[in-house]
Amino acid sequence: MSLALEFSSVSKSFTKNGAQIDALNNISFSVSEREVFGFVGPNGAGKSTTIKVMLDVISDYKGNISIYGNDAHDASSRRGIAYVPESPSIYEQFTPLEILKMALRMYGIRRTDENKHCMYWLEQFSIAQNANRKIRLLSKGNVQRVALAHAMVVEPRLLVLDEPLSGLDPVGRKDVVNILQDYKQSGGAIFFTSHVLHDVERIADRFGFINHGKLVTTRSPRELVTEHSDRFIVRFHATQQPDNVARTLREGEYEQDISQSEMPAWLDRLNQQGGHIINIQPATSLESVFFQILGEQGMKTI
Amino acid sequence: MIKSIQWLAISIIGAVLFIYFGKAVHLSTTIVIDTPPSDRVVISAPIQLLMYGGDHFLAANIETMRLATTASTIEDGNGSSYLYRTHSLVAQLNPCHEDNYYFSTAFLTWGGSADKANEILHLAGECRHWDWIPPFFYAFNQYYFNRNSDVAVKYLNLAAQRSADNHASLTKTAIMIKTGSINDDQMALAYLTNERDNATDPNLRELLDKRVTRLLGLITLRNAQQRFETETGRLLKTTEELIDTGYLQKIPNDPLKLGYSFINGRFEFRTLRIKGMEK
Amino acid sequence: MQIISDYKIALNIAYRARFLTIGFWLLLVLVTVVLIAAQFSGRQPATVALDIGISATRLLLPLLIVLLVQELFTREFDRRYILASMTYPRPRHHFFLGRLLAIFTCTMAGLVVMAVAIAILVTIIGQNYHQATPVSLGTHYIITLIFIAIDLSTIIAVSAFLSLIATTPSFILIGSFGFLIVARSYSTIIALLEQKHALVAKQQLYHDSLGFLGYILPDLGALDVRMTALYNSINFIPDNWPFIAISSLAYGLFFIGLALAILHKKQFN
Repeated sequence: MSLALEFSSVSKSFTKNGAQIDALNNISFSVSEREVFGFVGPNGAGKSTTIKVMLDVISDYKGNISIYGNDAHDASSRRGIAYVPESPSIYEQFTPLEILKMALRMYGIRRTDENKHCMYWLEQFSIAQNANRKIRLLSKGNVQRVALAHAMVVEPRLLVLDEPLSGLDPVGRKDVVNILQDYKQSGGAIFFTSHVLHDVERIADRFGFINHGKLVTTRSPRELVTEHSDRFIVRFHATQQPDNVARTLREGEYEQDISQSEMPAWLDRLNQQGGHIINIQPATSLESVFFQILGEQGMKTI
Repeated sequence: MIKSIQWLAISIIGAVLFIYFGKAVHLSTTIVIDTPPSDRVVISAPIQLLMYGGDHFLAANIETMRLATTASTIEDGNGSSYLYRTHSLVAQLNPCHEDNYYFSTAFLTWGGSADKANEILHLAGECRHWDWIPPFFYAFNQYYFNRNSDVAVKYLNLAAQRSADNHASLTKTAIMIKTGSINDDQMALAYLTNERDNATDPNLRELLDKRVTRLLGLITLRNAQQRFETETGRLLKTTEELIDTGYLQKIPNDPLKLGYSFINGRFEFRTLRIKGMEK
Repeated sequence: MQIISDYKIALNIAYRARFLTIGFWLLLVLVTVVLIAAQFSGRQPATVALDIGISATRLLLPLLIVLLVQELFTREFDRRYILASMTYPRPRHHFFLGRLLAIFTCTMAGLVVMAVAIAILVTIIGQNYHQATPVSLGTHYIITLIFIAIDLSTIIAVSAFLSLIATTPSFILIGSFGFLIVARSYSTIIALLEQKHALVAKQQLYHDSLGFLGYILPDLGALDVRMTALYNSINFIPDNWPFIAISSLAYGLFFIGLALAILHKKQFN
């Protein structure tokens, strides 16, 4: 299977207020054709920078990026890519239909059924009824849908999404997840970033965890489940701050990852200190695994 | 910015209308200013150029318009310094400007500053290399005010070269000046009344009318002198003699309030000395 | 020519930014100014109307240029539309050149409309008074307009360049008009200082420092050959006009090249 996207030792640093910040630190990974790759990490971890170097919006990085075998510095490498930014900035003086037609033109796609094709994608995102209203009159959620339709209308081989679900209501999220699943079924590859993990867990084939510009690990959901089936997330009250690995949720309320074998001893200790359990859940959710991995890396806070 | 374009447009139109109707008010009320406005500010040409976005044609036009709106408020004589400086400024900015050389001839030449008018006419004549009028005016002034026949003939010939229609009459005048067979007072009067009658601007017509009156006054004086000298057989010594002997009822009134002088036995226009402008 | 797509979209954006409405208002200003200016002339109303019309065109169209540059470049950066524009499978210079061409088209359309409007007004005004020296609305007028078009093209290039380095939108307005005023006036100021009538102290000092500008700015003042149309004489076109025209165009080209280099190096962090 050939590769849709390949990062080889990509580094990018900024100087901010005289100090050098490594936005990306020697990142290497690849996304296969037909693969859905989720890039997960806290805000400021380097997710957006990863997308920007991929699209050559930032071009002064070290290392190599290739898209379907073409150097990412080459504008034509983006021919098969469509991108949806986190907060879509779409010309607000145009209508969704015009925006979609504009996309076809910018990709050099000529179709005889242009109008029909564009309307099809607007229908897919349930915004066909707003096809001829100015973007500035649409709600934020609908603008997000237009941005997604704008990407899908060019029928990309690789879809790049920055926080694809962040601006949507629960219904919208479900719609989008369904469309992305259809897209995946039809053979498209997806690269997306997210810090809201729950909704996208089920569509990703693989996750990359990024923090402070470093790619911490890449795992598949199956690996995650098997690796972490004996671990639990415990949320509890305590009168005093417990030892190192606990996360503070709010004053007096904490959260901790505990393995099955450690559990009895830990519960005893909590009782002795006068604390009590709020709830216990298996640590197989992406979120908890993520925190756990960060913990293993010796990073307490994010 | 874009949304405010109509307001910007309206304000520009408003400013232009304001200036325009401001002029109309001036014309209809003919304000006479008591204090001499001779110290009016005339901004130098390079600064004007920057003010009008590097456009010396625009600067020349706006200055000419400013003159047109304010000239009627300038009492003749007093404002000559301002008039000269402004006309001279316009001549620097666009020496080809027709209104400028024409009006400066009307205002300055007959307002007692023929030399100043000649400077502007000379520039206009150089720039307007096809136009016979500036060299003609120049020649007339040189002959009538400066008694410089040689220069007058030279420029009359230049004017003749430029005008197919008036070639014959201009050449003829040049020859008449050369041979001294010309009644210069009658020529001047014919010239000036013709200017007045052709003026379309009522403002200009009124100003030229005053100049015709002034010239008629001079001609009256010279005629009286001539009769006195022919009939009494002696030369006139003072102006008062004319009145005392009854050859003249009274000294003619000069509407420009500059008056006439009697120097070396000849009546002349009293010329205006413009402060700081003498060579 | 792939650039056609960028060009069409840029034109569309200009249209949506109510370019035609702006053009209408500017035209209204022009017509008012021309009609009124003619009233002030006793001897040559048609010449003054044409003169003022050309002056107004030369000031109003740069205003239009700045507005278009702000709409097509500055807004792109401010609203972060650029992040989408740059991710299309097209080289960055397509974006820049497409928009530059659109601004050029709109400006030239504006010039043509204004020129026609002036010609109509001057013809009407000229019917009321027979001038000794009539204006020329034929070849001489067209030559004048071509030189104005060169002047405007240089301003477009400089203004577009400024939009890439500007940090505030007003910088483009100030920068473009600053450039315009200095480039259009310095050669005339030098000529004025050389006249014996000049009443300026320290002439030589000014003269030398202004002469230096000749090395860093194009002589846009020399591109104003309107006298040929005003006074119906071809003699008013300077003998070295090809050099003046080419140097101004080369100056514009230099700034377009510089802008493209900057855009290609630009990092959208």
